[in-house]
Amino acid sequence: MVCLCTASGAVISGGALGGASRWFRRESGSGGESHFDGNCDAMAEDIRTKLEHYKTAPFDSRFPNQNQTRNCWQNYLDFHRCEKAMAAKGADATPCQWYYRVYKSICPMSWVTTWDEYREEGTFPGKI
Amino acid sequence: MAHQAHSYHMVDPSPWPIFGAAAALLTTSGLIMWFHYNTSTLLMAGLLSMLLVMLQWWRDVIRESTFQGHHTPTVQKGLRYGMILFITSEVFFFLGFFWAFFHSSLAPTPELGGQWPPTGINPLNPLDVPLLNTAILLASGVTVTWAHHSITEGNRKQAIHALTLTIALGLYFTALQAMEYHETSFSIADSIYGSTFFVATGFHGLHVIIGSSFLTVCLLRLIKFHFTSNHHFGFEAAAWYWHFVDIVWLFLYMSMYWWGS
Repeated sequence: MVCLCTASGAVISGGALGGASRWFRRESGSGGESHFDGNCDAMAEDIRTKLEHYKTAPFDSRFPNQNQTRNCWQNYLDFHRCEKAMAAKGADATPCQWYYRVYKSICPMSWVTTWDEYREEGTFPGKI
Repeated sequence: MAHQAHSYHMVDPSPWPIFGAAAALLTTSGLIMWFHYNTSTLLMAGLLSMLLVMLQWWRDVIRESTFQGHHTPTVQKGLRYGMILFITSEVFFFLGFFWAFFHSSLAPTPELGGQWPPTGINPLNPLDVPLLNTAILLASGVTVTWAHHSITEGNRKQAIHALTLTIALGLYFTALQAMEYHETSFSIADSIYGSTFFVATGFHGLHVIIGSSFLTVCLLRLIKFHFTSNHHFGFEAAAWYWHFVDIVWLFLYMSMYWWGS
């Protein structure tokens, strides 16, 4: 991934955090994509804009079929991994909110509650 | 009319089929009693009657064939078809369990941690005892073929040696597998991983035991001069079954032990 900043900005590194983002630029703020152009401040503004204009989870071609379980699971994981990674670097965790919004949109509430409890207990089966 | 004008075997009336059906009923209902009410009496009665029917029915087949000469080439052809169809049905039996394995392992659910092997499962090292077991079964496939060639060539001593070695390898596999079962850190109750692993390998192990028993009967018959170099279908059927068991293991090894780790 691009743009490793130490200042507060959109710092997204690591394979798991690629998420629903696209590598190419999109004009409209459909809430679907963020883009990497090597400029951290632009990215930071960008993700905030995206979050402001967020309506619901966009189409994610990684999960094209009717069963969206994996979509929910992946974004839940990505959010918590993002938070953990940002905290470890001492960086701003705002970009992680994207994953938060997506999983909140598509995951059944009961799953989120259950998974949060598992994380509390230390019995969460996913790798965070 | 003293003689038949056809080459088929019109079998004398026999009680074994109906007794076999009764044994199957006792066994299946016995399984239910064991599963749900924790009593094994009915099951033991079922298994015992099944064993007795098998011994006596197949004893009668040997009497009709080896001692009374009813197994003409036509009859043998029918038996060949029968064995092949039976083995085919067993292939489908195992296919079901492989289906279950791939269904669960190709798209692991969040409950498993979205991964295979699931979180917390420490699978067996495929390069350890499982690899040895693979070598054992492959070797036993060679020895059973050696035994077959020895029979066809009329070499009694080698046939006995080769068949004994085949059975010994089969027993070695069973013993090693039993030890492995004891050593796993996971049980059948440990998620769908445990279920698929132990049901598939368990049924395979049962088939190894069945195959070894079939081969043992063949060894006893071989020693007692039942087979000729041209006519030894009982042995061939056992050898086919044994190869089938070997091939199932190879698929189990490649998918569950190796890919699945």
